[in-house]
Amino acid sequence: MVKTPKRTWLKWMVRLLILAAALFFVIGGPLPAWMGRIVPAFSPLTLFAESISQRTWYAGLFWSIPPLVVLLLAVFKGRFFCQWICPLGTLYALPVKISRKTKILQIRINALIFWIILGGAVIGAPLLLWLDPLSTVSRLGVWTLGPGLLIPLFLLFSFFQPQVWCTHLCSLGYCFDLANRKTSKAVFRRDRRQFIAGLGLGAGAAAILPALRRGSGQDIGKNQQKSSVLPPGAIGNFAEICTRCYACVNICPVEIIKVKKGGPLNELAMPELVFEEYGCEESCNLCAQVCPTGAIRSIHHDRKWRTQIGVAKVEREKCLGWTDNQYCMVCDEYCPYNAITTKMRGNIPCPIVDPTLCRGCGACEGACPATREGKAIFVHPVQPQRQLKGLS
Amino acid sequence: MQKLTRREFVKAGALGTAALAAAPAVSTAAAKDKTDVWVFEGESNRALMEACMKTIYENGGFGPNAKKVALKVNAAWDRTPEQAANTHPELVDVFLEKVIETGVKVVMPELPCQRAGKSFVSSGLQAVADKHKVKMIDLKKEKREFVDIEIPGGKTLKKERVARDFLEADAVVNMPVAKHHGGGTLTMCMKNWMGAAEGRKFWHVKGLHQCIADFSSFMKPTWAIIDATRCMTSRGPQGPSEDMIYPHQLIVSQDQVAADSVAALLFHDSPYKVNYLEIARDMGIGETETSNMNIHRITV
Repeated sequence: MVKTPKRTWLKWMVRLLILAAALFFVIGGPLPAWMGRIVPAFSPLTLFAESISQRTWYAGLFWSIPPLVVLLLAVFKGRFFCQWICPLGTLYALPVKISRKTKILQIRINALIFWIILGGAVIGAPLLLWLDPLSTVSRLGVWTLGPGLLIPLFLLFSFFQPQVWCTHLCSLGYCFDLANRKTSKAVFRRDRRQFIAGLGLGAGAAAILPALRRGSGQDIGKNQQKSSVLPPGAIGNFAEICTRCYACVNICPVEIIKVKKGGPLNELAMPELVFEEYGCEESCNLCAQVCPTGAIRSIHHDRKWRTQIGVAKVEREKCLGWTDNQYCMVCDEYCPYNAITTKMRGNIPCPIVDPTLCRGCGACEGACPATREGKAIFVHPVQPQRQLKGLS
Repeated sequence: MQKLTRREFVKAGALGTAALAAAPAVSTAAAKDKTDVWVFEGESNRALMEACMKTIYENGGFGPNAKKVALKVNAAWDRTPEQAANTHPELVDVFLEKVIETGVKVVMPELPCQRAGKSFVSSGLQAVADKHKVKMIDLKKEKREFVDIEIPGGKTLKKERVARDFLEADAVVNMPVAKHHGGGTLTMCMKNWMGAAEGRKFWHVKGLHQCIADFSSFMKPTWAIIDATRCMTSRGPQGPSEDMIYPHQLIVSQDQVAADSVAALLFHDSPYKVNYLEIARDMGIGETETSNMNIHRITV
């Protein structure tokens, strides 16, 4: 295909427009909630790796169509998506004219990454799926030090080796090479070593991950670090399934979904609920609506309303009622489920949590005004999450 | 006779830094005349509120030169009007209609407990405000709206930050729903002012009832209108409650303490079951004894 200047110009217009639109969707703002899902949900790699991991086709018909169209495009047009649509590709292509054409990274490891993802998916944990370019772009919606550096780093890299990410590392790009009917056989034959190594590494790592989690779990106990409360609808192996696209972090209207700091390896930079000022709202399921991976199941409001994600516990020695003899009961006031019962000590009302009614929404923890030794009521996670029967 | 401290504050023109050290203590002498309290009773919320507004305008309205009225409703919770956690929107609708008719501007600032996007909407109050093109100010978002004040009569609470609109308005109207409250026993006018104070979270640490009384010695409304059309008697302030009562009443006074004391009798046999009313009596913030009130009972 001969590249005319006119065609190049058109291509850049399209790419920049799509990049702008993607950033617009990712940053969100006043847009409808589901738009936060668009960018990460376009990846067929995410769709298939997650479906294999979860042994279920989690995405509904609506959200299955865009990634399947993208894949179909690859069958006939190869890397068309990379060259015309992918916002990350556009970003890395920006310095292509002024880039020095050095070859710092010599070997392509995109096949290895791709097969590690699929190998892990077979075992049930699609490791490295967070390297999917569209999840990476989606991550731009939330600034975090570690994961947030990935894009600037490779943008800088692109000044020395043009589009090094796209050609050497991108697992989605490799997925398109493999899907392309013209190149698939040759590509597969070329990278058969990476196929074997990747599958082995991915499956092996995914298999030992649960052991790793148990081991680090004990460490948590020693350090007295709190384990994470997860968004309502989060599935059992949320930490491994989540691609860290942060669509949920970005959409949460009360900003209680935060990126986890520290913790065991498998929970690295995972979204978790932190109840500093607010609790998880009774009538909101936006995080479930935007999650592109099924890590947070798309649960309907009625079901979310009953989903117990944790149980609150009062720490009496810090409590204004129990210890300071103050009229407080703010936890009761903010509890939307009437899960706090009142025990009178003389004139002073004191809170007790009814665990059969407590959903773990954290409204109490968010509002607790105790300051002497910090808050006096904390939500402890319930995993797996379950449906509360007592709510009416 | 009322509106002492807040008015003095406005006159002093000391917004921002608030040097109010020399402000007069709260007048207890005002209680010599019997305090007027109106109790409207009837099934129709609109008729109740129309009667209430008529009475208000027959008794001085919002002052001769009032141009701006700040209305403090209760719109704190993501609950429907029937659940009685927020002021009933039908009442607010009539209030806005009647006040705006006279050419007076109204603002509705509120510091909700839950996100305004939920509580203002579910309560039905955002819709009513929009209908009358009144600005409902979410004080949770607009932190710059708070101004430092000093409370000369305060025992525990001597300083607070108050929403600017309440200080700048020519008249303020306190219009809560009466309901059960875990820590405060009952929410009525005095307790409702917590939705105007930025530092309310610390009141529980300092002593909730004393802080409520202290703050009410500063924030005195031109009119206190208590929505007692339907009330929670348990599981307040948010509910939902299974123990509802339906007094179908509006309790109106220029003395918020008197209004609270009358409303408290819907729930308890004595107003002093509510600790902050006992403190209000001892501090002389307002009238708590019904024997010292002229209670006009009006059936609508």
